Amino acid sequence: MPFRIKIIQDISLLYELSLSVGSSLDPRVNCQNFLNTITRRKSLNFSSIWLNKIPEKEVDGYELFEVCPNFRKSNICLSNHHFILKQLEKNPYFNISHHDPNFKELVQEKKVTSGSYAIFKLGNIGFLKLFANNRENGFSDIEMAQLKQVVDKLNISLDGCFAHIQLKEETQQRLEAQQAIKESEEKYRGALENMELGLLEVNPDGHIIRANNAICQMLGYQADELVGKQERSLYRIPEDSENVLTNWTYANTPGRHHSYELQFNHKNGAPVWVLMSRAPVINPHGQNTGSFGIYFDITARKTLEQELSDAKMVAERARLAERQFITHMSHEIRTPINAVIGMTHLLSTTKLDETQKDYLNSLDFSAKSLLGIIDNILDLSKIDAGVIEFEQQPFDLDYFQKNLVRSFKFKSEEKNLLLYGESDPDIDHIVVGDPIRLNQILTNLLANALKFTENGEVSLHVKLLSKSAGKYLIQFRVHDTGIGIPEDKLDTIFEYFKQADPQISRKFGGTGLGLTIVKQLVEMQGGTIHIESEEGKGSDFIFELSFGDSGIPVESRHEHAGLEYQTADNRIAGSHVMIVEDNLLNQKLLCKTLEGWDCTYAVAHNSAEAINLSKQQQFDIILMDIHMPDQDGFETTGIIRNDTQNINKTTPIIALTAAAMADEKRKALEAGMNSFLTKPISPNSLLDHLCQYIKPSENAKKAPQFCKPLDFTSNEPDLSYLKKISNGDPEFILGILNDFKKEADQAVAELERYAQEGDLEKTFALLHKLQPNFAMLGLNTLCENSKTLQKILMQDDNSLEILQVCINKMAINLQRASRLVSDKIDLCQ
Amino acid sequence: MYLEKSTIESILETIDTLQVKQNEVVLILLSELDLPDMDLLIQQLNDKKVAFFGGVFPGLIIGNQMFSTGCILKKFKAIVMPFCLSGIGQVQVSDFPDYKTPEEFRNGTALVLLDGLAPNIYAFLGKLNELLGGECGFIGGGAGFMSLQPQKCVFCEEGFKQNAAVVCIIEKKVNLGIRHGWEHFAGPMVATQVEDNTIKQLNWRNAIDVYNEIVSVDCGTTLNQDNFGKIAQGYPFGILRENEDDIVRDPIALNGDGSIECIGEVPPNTVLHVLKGRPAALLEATKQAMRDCGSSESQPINASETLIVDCITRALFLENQFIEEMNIIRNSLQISSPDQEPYGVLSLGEISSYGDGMLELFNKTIVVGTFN
Repeated sequence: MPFRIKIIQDISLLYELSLSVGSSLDPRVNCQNFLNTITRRKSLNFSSIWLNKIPEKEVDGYELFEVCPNFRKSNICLSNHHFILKQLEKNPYFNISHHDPNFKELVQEKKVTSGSYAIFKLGNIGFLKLFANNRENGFSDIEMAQLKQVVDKLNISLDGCFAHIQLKEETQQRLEAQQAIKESEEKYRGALENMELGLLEVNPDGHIIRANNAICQMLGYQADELVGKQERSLYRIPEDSENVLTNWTYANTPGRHHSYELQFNHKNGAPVWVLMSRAPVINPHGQNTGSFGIYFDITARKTLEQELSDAKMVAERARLAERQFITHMSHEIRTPINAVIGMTHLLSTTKLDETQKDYLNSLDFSAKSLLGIIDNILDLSKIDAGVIEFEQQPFDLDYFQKNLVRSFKFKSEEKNLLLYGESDPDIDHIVVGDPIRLNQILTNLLANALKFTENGEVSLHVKLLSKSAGKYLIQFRVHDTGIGIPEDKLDTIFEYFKQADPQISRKFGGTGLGLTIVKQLVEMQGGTIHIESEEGKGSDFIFELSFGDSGIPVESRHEHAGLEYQTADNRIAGSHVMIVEDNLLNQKLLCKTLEGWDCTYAVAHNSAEAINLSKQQQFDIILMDIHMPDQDGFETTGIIRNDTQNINKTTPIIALTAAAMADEKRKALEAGMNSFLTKPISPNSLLDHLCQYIKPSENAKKAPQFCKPLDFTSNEPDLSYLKKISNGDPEFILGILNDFKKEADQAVAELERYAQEGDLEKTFALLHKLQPNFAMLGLNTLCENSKTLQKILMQDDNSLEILQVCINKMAINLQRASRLVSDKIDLCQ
Repeated sequence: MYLEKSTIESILETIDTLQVKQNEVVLILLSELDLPDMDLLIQQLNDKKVAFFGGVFPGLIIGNQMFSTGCILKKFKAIVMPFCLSGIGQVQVSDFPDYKTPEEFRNGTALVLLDGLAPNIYAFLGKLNELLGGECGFIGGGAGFMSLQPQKCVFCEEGFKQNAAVVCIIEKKVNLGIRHGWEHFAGPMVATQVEDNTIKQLNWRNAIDVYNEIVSVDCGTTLNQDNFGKIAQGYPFGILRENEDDIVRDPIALNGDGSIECIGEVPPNTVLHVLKGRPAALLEATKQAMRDCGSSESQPINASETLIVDCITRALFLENQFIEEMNIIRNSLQISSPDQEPYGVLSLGEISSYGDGMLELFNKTIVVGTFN
């Protein structure tokens, strides 16, 4: 072949090969074009390209990427340490004929036994492999050098392809991301435009830069009218602007948002209430670029709220008026009834013939019935008004039960009925609850039971259902063998003014309010009540209530049963009492009652007199009427309490009023009064208060109910023991009594001192020493109280304050016992 | 077996005599003249439940004779039964039936008959090679008509098809001889702009201008659209390959824009020569082809069958000497029975591969396949 032709052919080969690459950005097409061309031009049996990176595929080592002529290939791979790659580390190209012992290392694509391979490195990405069986001496050096030039071009082209693919993928990802953002923006834009919530976007200066349809409709503007406006200029109340700005400055950090209720001005001037929630827009550099506000039109809700508020105010006024009416009614009705009952009581102490006594009994019965009805109506009013309050005070349930049952003894004996009560010994602690309301409930039920029972028995059963976590769940059962209740009436028996049969009202009387009150009182304390009854056989009214556990054990229960309220005799005798009362009948009633208890008194007819008297005389207690014509009892009390020079500044003051409302009681305590008595005043209640507040320490009123056994329980000395052991020797007895009197007076002083010092050990020792003396003189109650106090002193869980009160009371009792002994000494002498 | 008349009856009767078994297939090579009703023939062949495939060609070869009528029927044992691929240019590997692995074709030969005037034959052959690998031999040719008008020309049980290929792998190993004998007359030149089978530019100039400058001087006539086919068949293009014969591309028509239409694709930017034929050189090439098949002066080939795919334009060029070419082949064979007589077709393009190299469509080439 002429040299010129050879050169042209060589150049044309390089030309053709050069043009076969780079015509496509697809590496596979690029490789196919190159392999097709070189295989055809060089008359090769086959050629192949192996790569260590293939688009969209993980390659471990080098994988056959393209081969020509093509054949079905799958995952033909070479490791990174293959012979070919090791060779290529030394030389960028080499050729091997079948004479070379390494020839077989190159046989991969097809099983060949003779021919020559030429291998060219493709940069860092792979290699090119050529095979021809028509070259006896393999590929020539010139041929290899020529091809190397073109293979380098192929390498560059493939690098470009891969770079393009990477760029394309990145571009695609970016486009997809942009598309996703665009779609997201479209979605939210659509949602924001179509939602019912208004939206305003403002720049950092507060100028509106975007407004959606909903806010435009809400405020009556077009979007272009709102854009550019100061958002704050739309506020109806200028001060809102300051509040929003203050909060906004605080909340103007990423992740913070704030919401407000404020008023906007509609374009037509009408107010538009909105609930606004606002969040800052923070750019990627952390800069505040404005904020988004979402606005919910709450005008309708606000209007409704205002209407409700107005209605509530009207209702409150009506309720207040109702309560005032009840208060006044209570006062106006109770005051004359109080006088009627009181005068009846006084009249009964005068000399009367039998007819007069009958009339007086009827009068007393009618007055008390009327008072009962009024009390019921007032209770119901209080329940309905939700103003009823329940006390939480400790009391001995067994003692309570026995007293209650005893109070019905007379009535049961009148009807020749068996009446008894049963307590549960498992209730071994003083319970905490409202004994007054419990009394009201059980009195109602027992009174009913006695009313509707002609034969048989009436009983009260107190049973512990469970005890846990400082709580007693107690069942009360009032049982009778009376007329019973028809089954179809059981559901309605607790309704207002309902009795099982209209004839019952005619036959037995009653308003039909009692059971309603009972049920309300039980349920308001979280209890339940039901009836088990059989017509003609009797009824069981059963209710359950929860009480607190004071943790204080009940002692000497059987002894307490005998401690009925008795006359005050020497316990308050000699006390000086101020009566502040404008009602003359009530004055007389109080005066006569106090006289009966050997108390002295002074009467003030109005507030001014009361204040004057309080400055002149030292009183042990003041009984203060609330409703007086000039200054009421609250104000009068305030003046006495606030006058530092007043000698009665700290004297106990007990409010007296016909108003039975709870807020009256609260007001009395707030005014500085110590307690509260509701007219008509029962002598027992009055006595109870006088005993409690006359001469006690400041802590007396805080003393728990369990100390009651230590109060007012002094019994007359019983000298039978002394007479027995001395065979009635008066000198011996007198000597013992004088010794006791001396010892008791000394002990009183010591107890007062120990109480002040909080010396419990010496108190215990002293009581222990005195105890045999109490027994010797038949001062049994004092003896038991001493034992109880000793036990209390040994317990760890009583506060010193309470113990000091108990010791003081013990001292008072001992002092009274001393006076009683002194009386005996006088008799003996 | 050659039938002078391609009647349906004669074909069916002959097939009956062949006693075709279930794993056998009948190759039917029809000459373009006196074609039977092809649809009816296919229907009746299907009715017989006989596997078959075939094509229509400008001429048939039996022994040293060329026939423009009649048909040749041959029975083979098949490894893969005939399958048809329509739309040659669009065929993908996934369109091929999922047959066996290429290793199982190692002892077989793929007989490939396709529409010789279909575009993108090169790509199709690449896909076929990918499917069947280099494991089996390939021999076949472009079917069609002398008019060079595209029309239905290949068939199988699916019907008579245009722009399609039928392929069958028979259980016979082939030895191939592929030669043309055309010599460089002018060049080299670069096909600077081509589109599939059409050369638009040579050396960056209008193709016909460059071609005319070479050919008109030699033949004394300027080429135009009227005389192009007749003159150009003596001046084909050769696609350069090192150490091997050029691949010949037959220029068959001159387009109005000066571009030249060929049988088979011309790779872009490839180096071409204008070739010129000498009958003696062509005949010498035939001898070389037979030597490639294994013959020698002293040892003719003892083949059970010999299939010839000879280009129609080569035959036309050789004119009366075509019989000498056939005699060269025949004389290289040991023929002891009529079945050993060589047979074949005059084709529009010849298909084969050099050994286990690329599968190619040749022009003006003789392909001889001897089966053991």
